Formats: sequence, structure tokens, C-alpha cells
Amino acid sequence: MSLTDIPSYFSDYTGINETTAQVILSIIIIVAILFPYLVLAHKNPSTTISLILVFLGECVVLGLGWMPFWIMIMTICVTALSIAWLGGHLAGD
Amino acid sequence: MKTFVIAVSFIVIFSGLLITVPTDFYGTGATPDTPVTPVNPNLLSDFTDSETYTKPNYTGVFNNYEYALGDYNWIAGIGLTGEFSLAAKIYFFGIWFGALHICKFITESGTDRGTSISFAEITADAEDGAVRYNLIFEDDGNEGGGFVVYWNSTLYADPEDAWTNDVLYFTHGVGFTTNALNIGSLLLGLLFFQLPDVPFLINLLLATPLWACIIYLIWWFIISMIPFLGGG
Repeated sequence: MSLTDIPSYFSDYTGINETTAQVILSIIIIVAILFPYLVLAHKNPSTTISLILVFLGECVVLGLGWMPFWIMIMTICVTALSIAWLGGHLAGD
Repeated sequence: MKTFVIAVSFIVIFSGLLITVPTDFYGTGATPDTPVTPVNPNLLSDFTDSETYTKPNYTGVFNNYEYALGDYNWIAGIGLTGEFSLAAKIYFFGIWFGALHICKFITESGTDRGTSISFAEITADAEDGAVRYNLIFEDDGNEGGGFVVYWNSTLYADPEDAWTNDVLYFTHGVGFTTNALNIGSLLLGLLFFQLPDVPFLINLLLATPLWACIIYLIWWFIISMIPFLGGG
């Protein structure tokens, strides 16, 4: 059994479809990477570091073939939009 | 001013981040449908697009087979001594003057077979009736995809027999890491709703902010260049 096949086994075991299994397992991986930082950062987590960790988690699940690549493009799109929005507000009218 | 900063920043940051994504993450590619499944089907995996052909496809005066695949139009040729070659056409402003990117065949173990492969070389390289070569352009060293030669080795002992009986198969495939989808193709695919393996609605969702920024910037430049419209 390779790591790539884990969602398939997970879906067979739990009776859910494979895409849902991929999403659930991907979220577990991303949260597992992000969670220790959020606990350590306690009340003041840095958005930049959180984003880097989310990207890192996505790289892992994309590398494992559990998620389609457009998930990464979507995250990039949202991140770029957020930074641009922030920049726009700082620039003023 | 605020909208202008948002539009420019978004396009720059989005493109910048997209460029940094390693091409291997763009997907593992699909396995093409082929008439014969090689003993090792992994040889045919990781292609996003492919072309499979055999002896009857070689026609015409020059005994060539021409097809479009990935970013190029390809010419598969066979020499008088039964050596197979492959080249991509180079166009100059949409017109082909005969220039070619000639491919070198590199085995998976890294042996350079030169710009053509013979039956003897195929026999030497193949395992259980299948071999995959990586194609490298001789002139600029860019990748031209993967080239798999395979046949039913139970029925035909060597590739020449299979070729004579029209059942020696060639599958030329391109994948995300081999010119099928460079960053330019990715952005164009995104903008024109043609991203491979991406649902249309997701593509629409991703393309909408990009189009909004592009249209805004075009409008901004137009009104800026025509003073009487009141632009900056």
C-alpha cells in the first residue's frame, strides 16, 4: 500500500466516496501542520506564518495526489486577493 | 487609486505565486487509452495528452506521420534503414519554413540513443515488450515529452516482427512537467476557462477576479490617455 492509496482504503473502510475521503484526510494533514503553531502562538498568531504553513500542508497533499492542483491555485488566488485588498486600503483613496 | 493598487497588486502577486508552484504539483496526469497494455503500465502514465500510432499511420511520399500534441506539431519519420525519428515543427509567425526541433531519445537509465532509434536499440532497451524514452530537443535541450514503444511480446518476439504486422505501437505523451502546461499555458487556460481537469465553475471562480482586474486596468489606461475624459 502506498501513501497515495490511503484515501481509497479510507473510503472503503468508512463507506464514504473517495473524493470526500481525500478532502477529510487533506484537512487532517493541513490542520496537523497548522495546529501546533496556533497552540504555540497562543493569542497572537501571525497570518503570514499561518499562510506559509497552509501552503506547506497543501504541498504535501498535492504531492501525495490527494487533492487536485486547482486547490492550490484557489489558495493562491485568495491569498493574492487578500494582500492586494490590504495594499489597496493602505494606499487610501 | 485604491482600486488601481488592488488590481495591479492582485495580478502581480497572483502571477508571482503561481510561478513559484513546482510544476510537479500541477498533477500526475492521466493514462491514455491504448490498444495494448504494456506489462508495465506505469510506462504510459503521467501523460496529460498523448498520441498513439503505428505503421499504417506512416504515409505519404516521405513516409511520415504528422500530428499535433501539446504546444507543437510533430513529425514522426522512419528512415530507409528502419530507424525512427521524431521532430517538432518550429513556426515563424505562424508559417512553417521547414525548421525543426529534432528530438533525442534518452532511455530511463539515461543512455542517449541519439536522434533516431533502431529496432536493435528498441530490443536492447525494452523489457517485456515495452520501453519508454524521454525526448529532449537536440538544439535547445528542452523536454519534448515521453515516447513509449510497446508490442505484444508473447505474440511477437521482437519489435521488427510486430512492426511488420502493424502492431508495434508508439505512444508519444506530454505531461505537466514536459511542455504540456508551462506557466503561460496555465495562465491562458485559466483566463479562457480551459484549465485541464478543472471543473468549469471552479475555473470561472478563479478567472473572474483576474478578468475584473484586467478589464479595470484597460479601462484605467484608456481614460488616463484621453485627458478630456477626466482621467489622471
